[in-house]
Order: sequence, then structure tokens, then C-alpha cells
Amino acid sequence: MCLSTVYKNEKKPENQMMQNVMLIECKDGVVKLTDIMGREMEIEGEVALADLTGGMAIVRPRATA
Amino acid sequence: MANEHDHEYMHEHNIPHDHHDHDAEHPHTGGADHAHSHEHTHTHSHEHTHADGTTHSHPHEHTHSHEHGHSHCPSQAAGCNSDCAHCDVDPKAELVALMQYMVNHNAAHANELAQLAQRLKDMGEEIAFEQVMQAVSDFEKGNMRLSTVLAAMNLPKQ
Repeated sequence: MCLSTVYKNEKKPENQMMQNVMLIECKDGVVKLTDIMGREMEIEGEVALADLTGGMAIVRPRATA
Repeated sequence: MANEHDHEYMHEHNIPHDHHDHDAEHPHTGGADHAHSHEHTHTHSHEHTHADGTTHSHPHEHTHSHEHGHSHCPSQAAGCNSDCAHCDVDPKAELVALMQYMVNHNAAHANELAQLAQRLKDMGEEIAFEQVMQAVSDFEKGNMRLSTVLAAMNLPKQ
């Protein structure tokens, strides 16, 4: 229910992808993040973890060959 | 002269060696890519033999500079492939949107707390029910104050 901060791979400040995320959609190997202002960000990969009480999610990008 | 001697360098000048660590972190507030130039200094020795047959070495330093290019956008650094144009949002508009979200969020939580209180009442916990409902009332008063501030911020400037 709360807005979340999404990180890549690990919860570290430098890995922060987006704050105030209100929507996370996963489709066809793409994770799409949308923040409260409607800004969108897409990354190829998967949601590794979503801490719904901590307002935090981690996205693991798909490994590139 | 006493200082004249032959230098027989006993190593190649491209011997790999380690650079010292440095801290390149700095505040990232913009969105543009750029690079910072900085220097590394390292010390090593050349062993050489003098005319009198004495072999020894003198330490000395080499300094060189190079650059690291990077982005100041944390989202790009984290792998964002989206167009940066969509990130340009008025900071005040974003703050107001966040506050509006919080007011609505708080109202939803107040409602959830009232439902929990009702469950306490159904369990016969009358005193706990009254205390939680008092907390809900206090919570709503605070949220009303936030809502008033928000309404004032949304008024057009005269």
C-alpha cells in the first residue's frame, strides 16, 4: 500500500532506480516501474524481492551475454 | 666526478604495478554525463649498478592522470534505459503530489484502524476499542491539518 523505493540487485544508495514507486509491472521479462508522478522506467529482468512493509523492492536485471 | 656512474636498469619500465585506491564519490545532483580527471602517483625503484660495482636502487615517483566518465543520474547508473525527458517534473508539483498521496494514505489507514477497533469491540474489549477510536480521531485531526496545508498550497498565487 505504501510507495516504494526500487533498487537494482542490492539495497544500496548507488543502486537506487526509482523512488515513490506506486506500480510495478512484470511482463515478457521486463520490469516496468511507475512513480507517483507517472514517470516510467523499464529494465529487462525480474523482481527479486518486494518488502511491502519496508517500502522497498529489488530488481535483478537479466544477465547480458 | 664522484657522481658519474653507469645506470644499468635491471627491469623494464612497463612492469605492472598497483595503483593506490582513491575515493571518487561526490554529490550527484545533475543529470549530465561527464568525466573527472585525476592523478595517480606511485613509487617504485630501479636497481642499477655503479662503475665501482656497487648495486643499489633509488625510489622515485611517476604521476599520470586519467579520466573516469560517469552519469550523475542515479537511475541511469542503476540501469535505466528510459528517455530522460520524462524525468523533468516541477519539484513543487511532485511535493504536492506526495503530500496528497500521504493525506489519502493516512485516511485509508485511519479507516483500517477503525475496522481493527471494531474487531476489538466484537471481542468484548470495550476499553481498548474506545482508546483506539480516540487514536483514530487524533490521527484524523492531524490529517485534516495536512489537508488544509495542501489546499492552501494548491490555491493560485495572487
